[in-house]
This record gives sequence, C-alpha cells and structure tokens, in this order.
Amino acid sequence: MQGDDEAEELKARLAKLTSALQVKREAAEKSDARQGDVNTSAKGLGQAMSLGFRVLSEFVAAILVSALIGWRADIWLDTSPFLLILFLGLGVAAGFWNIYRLAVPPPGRRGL
Amino acid sequence: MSEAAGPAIDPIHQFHINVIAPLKLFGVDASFTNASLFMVIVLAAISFVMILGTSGSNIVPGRLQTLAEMAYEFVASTVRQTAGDAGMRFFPFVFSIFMFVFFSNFIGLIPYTFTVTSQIVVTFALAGFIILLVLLYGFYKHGAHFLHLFVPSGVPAALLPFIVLIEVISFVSRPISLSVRLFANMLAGHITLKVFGGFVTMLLGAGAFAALSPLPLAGIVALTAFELLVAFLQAYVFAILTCVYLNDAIHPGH
Repeated sequence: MQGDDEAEELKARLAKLTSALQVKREAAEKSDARQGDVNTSAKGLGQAMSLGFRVLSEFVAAILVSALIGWRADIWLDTSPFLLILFLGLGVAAGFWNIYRLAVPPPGRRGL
Repeated sequence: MSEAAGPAIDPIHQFHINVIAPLKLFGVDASFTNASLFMVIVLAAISFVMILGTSGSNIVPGRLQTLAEMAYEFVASTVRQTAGDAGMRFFPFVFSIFMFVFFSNFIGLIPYTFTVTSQIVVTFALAGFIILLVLLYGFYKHGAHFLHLFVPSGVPAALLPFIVLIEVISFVSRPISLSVRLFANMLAGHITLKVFGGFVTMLLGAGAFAALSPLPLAGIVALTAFELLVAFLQAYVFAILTCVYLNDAIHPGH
C-alpha cells in the first residue's frame, strides 16, 4: 500500500514538473522569436547592402568576363570588332540572367 | 618613399606588401611578407579558438567553447540550408573558408594590422579554388551529365545556343564576382576609414577649421561599427555562395 502511494505521488510530481517545463519552454521560444525580430530589423540594412553588392558584382562581372572573351577571341581570329560586340551583348544578357536568378530561385531546387 | 610624400594622408599605404624574409623557390618569389605573416596570425587565431574551444567539451560551455560551437552550428546550418544533407561532406571545406575570411576581415579591422582579404590575389585564389573544386567534383560525380548545368530544361531549340553561351559566361563570371566582391568591400572600407582619419589630421592643422575635426572622428566611429557588420556579412556571403556553387556540383540540372 505504502509503495503504491509513493508511486502515485511520484507520478503526480512528474506531471507537475512536465507541465512547468512546458510553460518555461514556450516562454523561452516566445522570447527567442522576439529577439529574432529585433535581430532582423537591425541587420536589415547590412543584408540589403550585401544583396545590393551581390547584384552589382554579378552584373559587372558577367559583362567584364564576356568582354574579355570577345576581345581575346577577336585578336585570335582577327575578326575585330564583331566578336567583342557579340560577346558584350551576351555579357549583358548573362548579367541580367544572373540578377534574375538571384531574385527568383528556380522552382524545384531543394533547400533554397 | 611614401613617408616623404606625406605619411598622414596616404590611404593606400596600408595595403603595401613588405618583404620580411626574402625567399626564392625554383625561381618563384616566395618571400615571407607581411601578408604571409598575417595569414599565419589568422590561422593561429583560428587554431587557438577551435582547438582550445573543443578540448574541454563541458556540458556547460565556457567562453571559447561557446564561440567554437556557435561557429560550427552557424556554418553547419548554412551548409544544410543551401546545399542539403549531401552538401555536408563539404562542411570542412566551407568551414575553413568561412573562418579564414571571417578572421582575416576582423583582424584587419584592428589598427596597424594588415587585411589579407583586401588583396585580390588572395580572394581570387580562394574563389578560383572553389570553382575548380565545383568543376572537378561535378565531373567526378556526374561525368558528362554535369554539363546539364549549362542546359536549362524547357528552352526552345532555336534559343538553346544563346542560352548555353549565356550560362557558360555566367558560370565563368562566378569566381570574378565572388573574389571582387570580397576584395572591393574590404579595400573600400579600409580606404574610407583611412581617408576619414586623414580628414581629422587635415582639419586639426587648418586653424579655425579645427573645430570641425570631431565630425569625421564621429564618422570613423560609425564607419568602424559598419565595417564590423560588413566584415561578418562578406564572410557569410562568401560561405553561402560557396555552398550554392557546390550545390550546383552536387545536383546539376536541378
């Protein structure tokens, strides 16, 4: 009889502890979420700037690389300046394509 | 030389490479310079944090252990989110790159230090290595199927040559944009700080205008805080783009 009572008491205590822990956890989660909000608003400028830099550098890099390809190919094949013009156009297209891909992650790619 | 030209107002001086110990290896100039010295310092700092931080493994972590665990979890979640679980095999690589860039950026912000990542050679070597790894792993894992990366599905046949060319150009431009972004951010930030510092000394020597000198000084304080943010963000962007590019190698053709 005595053992049964003790077991009951233990179970009750366990239940109480579990519910107390649950309340604590929920409160912690809530404050975590609030802190996350604060973090994102403070980091907003930095993130926007880094995204802006990404857009700029991807755009410029594509044009520079294709201009370089066109220039060297022109010298190699002696077709100046047509390949340079062609590759500049392609480079601009590639730059816009880079930016488009930045803005719209392709559907079906996992994890992005 | 630059001392005579005006030591106070020379914002580029901080990027000079000074040879500490000259060394010639097989005709290649492999001298130990201040850049190498600060790379060693960066590696020593990373090793210090990671080795000491992981040696304890207490349940209640100390400061260093918290730092090491935070760095691990941050990079691990970045890799998982962008490259999936298959990308975790590249975790050591991405972690090394992130820590190197992060510590270089931060150590470079301490006055009288040298910023390793403000040298385009360093950032381009990192970016080139990443792209080389993407190419090698992509061809090793998928063979010729890796080329599907350049051929998006659902494109009309008439447009295909142009699209493939554009995709190839955009792939080739990746190491350029990756390296130039980090390099330009670091270079511009440090030059801005130095120029503002030069304003302070110039105003102090300009008679009545010395009253204005606290303005650029306050600007330096704000800029330093901003540079701290940039230093972290650029390391983060570098790591996340590494993951994105590695993801292309793991799953080409989406």
